[in-house]
Amino acid sequence: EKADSSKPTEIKFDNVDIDDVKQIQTFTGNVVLTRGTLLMKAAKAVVTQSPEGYQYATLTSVAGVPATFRQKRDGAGDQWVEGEAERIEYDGKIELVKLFSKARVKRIEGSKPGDVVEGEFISYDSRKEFFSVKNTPTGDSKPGAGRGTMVIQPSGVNAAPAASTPAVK
Amino acid sequence: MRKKTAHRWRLSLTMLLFVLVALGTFWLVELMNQSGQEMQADRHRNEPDYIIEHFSFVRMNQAGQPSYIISGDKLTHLPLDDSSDIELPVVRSLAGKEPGRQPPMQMHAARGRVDRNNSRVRLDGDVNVERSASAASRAMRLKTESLTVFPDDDTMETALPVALSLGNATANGVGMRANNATRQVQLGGRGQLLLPPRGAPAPPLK
Repeated sequence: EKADSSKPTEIKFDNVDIDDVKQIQTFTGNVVLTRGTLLMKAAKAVVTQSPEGYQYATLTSVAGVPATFRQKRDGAGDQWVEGEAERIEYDGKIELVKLFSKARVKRIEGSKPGDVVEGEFISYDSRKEFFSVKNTPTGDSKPGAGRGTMVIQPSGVNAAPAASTPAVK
Repeated sequence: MRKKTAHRWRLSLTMLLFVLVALGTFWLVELMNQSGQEMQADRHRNEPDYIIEHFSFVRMNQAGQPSYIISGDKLTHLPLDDSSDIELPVVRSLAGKEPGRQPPMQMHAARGRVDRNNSRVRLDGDVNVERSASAASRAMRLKTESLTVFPDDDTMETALPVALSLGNATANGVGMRANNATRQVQLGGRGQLLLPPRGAPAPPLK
């Protein structure tokens, strides 16, 4: 959501090491970062602040527990975007979320399951709501590297009844 | 009595006298030691030996420059463990000469206790720490119930809840260890840090 950029960032943690000289805060232990509707969870997070005041966060996950992010989308109705990956980098200046290795992003409208995108690397621009999926965990795309999948839900009303009628016969 | 026996009686009498005198002196020495120990374990022993009102003492570092000043309303020095209790202490650490040295820092509290021959200062009761901003570092303000400061190696720590503000970010947690020389702060417990959006003024410390 666009309004998120004017909201304070609040980070809950088990413990934090603040290095005031380099202005780096390293949070560990079940870290929850919220900024307006943006909600990110991870085992460890490193947040740095640029002199102009922009925040850059890198969330890394512990084995098995991926770092997750969830943000409301601007459009009508209750639209959300949810994503998870082993490492998530969030750039506060251009509001870009980068998901590295085993990334998965899901769009949700109300209770209906939405589109799902999976790949090695996904970058999601929350301002323009623009995805890009690359097939190597580092973010560049090499032929023959990993594969991505995208599931697009049938949209519109006509699809739904067709599914239900066969059950009637 | 024949001459020989009379002589023996007088001799044994003087011998007896001398033995008595020897025992007497021994008894006197015993008495002296005994009262010495008693004086040692005297119940007045841990009474303060000096009390200073509205005092301020400056502690120098090895280089001979003043490194911090401790002042307060009343200092009571206890000889037993060479510690001193202070009412309304103010600890001011001074900025060093080297460019990297952090700006001066002020600590206020209700009570203080200096021990371990002045290498540890424990502040209790509404402890407030302020450090002004400098070119290299943001202003810092800290509020807690009790804080242990080691002025010589410039670190402070507490196990109690802490409210801390660094520049415009505010944080609170339980348990803290701060090293002022490298300006690193570790905050523990289920804590929370709030970074305001760009350009917002620093919210007051809650």
